[in-house]
Amino acid sequence: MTLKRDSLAGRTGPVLRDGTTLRDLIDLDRREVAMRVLADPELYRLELRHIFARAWVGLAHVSELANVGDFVVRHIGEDRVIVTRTFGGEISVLLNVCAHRGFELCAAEEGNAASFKCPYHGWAFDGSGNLLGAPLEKEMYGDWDKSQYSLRRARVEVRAGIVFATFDTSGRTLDDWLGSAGWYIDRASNEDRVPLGPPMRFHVNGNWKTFMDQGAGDNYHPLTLHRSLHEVGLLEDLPGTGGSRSTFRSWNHVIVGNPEGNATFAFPPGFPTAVFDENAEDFLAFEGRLFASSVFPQTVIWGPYVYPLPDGTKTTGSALWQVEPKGPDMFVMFLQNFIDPDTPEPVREFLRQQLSAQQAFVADDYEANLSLQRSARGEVGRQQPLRYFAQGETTKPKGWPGPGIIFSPPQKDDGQWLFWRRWFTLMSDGAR
Amino acid sequence: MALLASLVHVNVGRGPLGVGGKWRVPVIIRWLRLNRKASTAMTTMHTATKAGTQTGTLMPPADTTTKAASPVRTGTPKTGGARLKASDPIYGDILDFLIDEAALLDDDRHVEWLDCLTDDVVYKMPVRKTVYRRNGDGFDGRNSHWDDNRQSLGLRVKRSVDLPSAFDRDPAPHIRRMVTNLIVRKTETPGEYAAMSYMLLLRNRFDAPTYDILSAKREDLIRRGGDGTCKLARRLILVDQTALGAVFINVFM
Repeated sequence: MTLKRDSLAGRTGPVLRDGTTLRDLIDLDRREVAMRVLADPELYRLELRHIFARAWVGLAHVSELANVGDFVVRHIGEDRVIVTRTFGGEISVLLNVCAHRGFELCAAEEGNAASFKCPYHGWAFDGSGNLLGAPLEKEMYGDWDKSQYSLRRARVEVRAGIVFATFDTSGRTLDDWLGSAGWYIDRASNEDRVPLGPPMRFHVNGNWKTFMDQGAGDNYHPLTLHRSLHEVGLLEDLPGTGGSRSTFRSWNHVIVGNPEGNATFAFPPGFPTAVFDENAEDFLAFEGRLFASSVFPQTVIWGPYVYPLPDGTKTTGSALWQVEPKGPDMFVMFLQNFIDPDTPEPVREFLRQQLSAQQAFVADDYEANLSLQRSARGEVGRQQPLRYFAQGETTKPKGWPGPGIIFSPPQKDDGQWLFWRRWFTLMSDGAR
Repeated sequence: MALLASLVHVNVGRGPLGVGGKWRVPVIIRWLRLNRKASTAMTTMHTATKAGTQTGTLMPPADTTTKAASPVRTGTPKTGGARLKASDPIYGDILDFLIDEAALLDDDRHVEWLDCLTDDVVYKMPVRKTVYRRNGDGFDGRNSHWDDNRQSLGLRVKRSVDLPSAFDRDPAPHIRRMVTNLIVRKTETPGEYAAMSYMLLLRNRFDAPTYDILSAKREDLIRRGGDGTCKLARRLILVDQTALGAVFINVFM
């Protein structure tokens, strides 16, 4: 670890109404954070301001906006945004709120629109957010300067076919935000793929951080929480080991953390169905791996999935997940998959069935989300620390070409603690 | 189309809104055009229903010039068949079957429930999107909360009843399924019936004072043997939500 563990020690962070500082809730030495941070509505509002309103969020794939006027409505934190392709061919991201009196411009979540007209008083905007005009505008406003009344625009960058946007005005680039995760995202996703279908969405009782913190490097939970995968025979025991210990080992991810709070799981080739042989020479080889990058605070990008076809060729895919916060106790899970455009229809059908069946076992994770909220309700429960004290070494596998802080198996809690440090950094940045 | 679109407040493919003059189009003309459009659509739907294609749900979006929703395919054959009266004994067999099936699930007798399914069963819950009326009802078969066959349903059942580590299933959730509004039609295949029913599912867990609620229309294909025994060959679950209100993974509908 090259991190200076005490670089945040002097910060207090925001002060809550009862006098508690954020620093009181996180112990940087013991690597603990109080469960109150999962359930406190006051902290949640601060997160929306200091984290989500300043974050780069992966919103859509460029193929969803193939034609001029195509739009989808997505979320940055709790803010709804219109993602659309302008007449100039660029992608723009606009706050879905009329610059006049606040009515939502788009009620549908996808479609095609040459312009966006507010249903309330009729102000109309183009895909870049410029005000085009309004009913009776001469009578109402005379000779007015329309440029004063544009929609609120987010900054947009497209990376590996994914449209990212932020309401941050500090000039921080997407590259800064992603850190080393960008390198892996470039290998996971590309602009040529097309949606396998529209997103699947459902509400989960839980705090967004519980989901994202697990994605930041928890290689310990599958052993127990996902034990049912093993019990049903989808994962086989390694020869001679037996039992749950081999579940742990057969899931040999390399985990790449970074100070930006992002983490990439690099799964072994064939994951999740192939049994992984820890004695093989290419045990930690880079080639053929599947990358799952959690981008703080709301985005997860998977890929490349590699699917062999009957004729011996291969097709590939990727996925975009979003964790849309809906209060301290709830988020919406957003799951969308993308595939190579020439993927034959029978293969698409097969993939849809696979993804549906996958959910049967991902269900385990939502149990953790629910349970932690129940635990954090009580006064004593919310004082209870979540512990991340298991420390490991950074060990870069031989021949590993990628950047980042690399943890080879068996991973400890280091990746997840980088997540919490990032969380504390952004929350306390805002309070300074 | 442009006028209709302006009423639903997003212009469609006609270049930037010419804001000045268009506002002066008499409102009455807009309404006339809107009503004509709407009444045409309703007639089409009604005709389709009479012809036995179940409901408007299965129809492709009326306006294919906009970003088209992918129509949901049920696997239910075009019927053309007549509706069975509730007094018909076959209607009674199918109603009994649906009630018994729901009871097996509510009573946590999932393995027996599998016997209600044909070997080639198709079981789907397509995702739904919020779209403007002209783009259909939002169901999109290209992605499904459930996209299952006999094998994958068997896997889910095994998880539901057999495994010590299926934490969403133990302690067992308290679930009640209400089946209502059954309409049965004949199909072109003797012994196969298209059954449309409503389902309201309530789930309670632990000591929660509230329920998770899921309401849906189910479009089933029922295979009825000579002895009156019914099996489920297709089920399309059309939910009344776009972002499901809770995690309903492994909760059979």
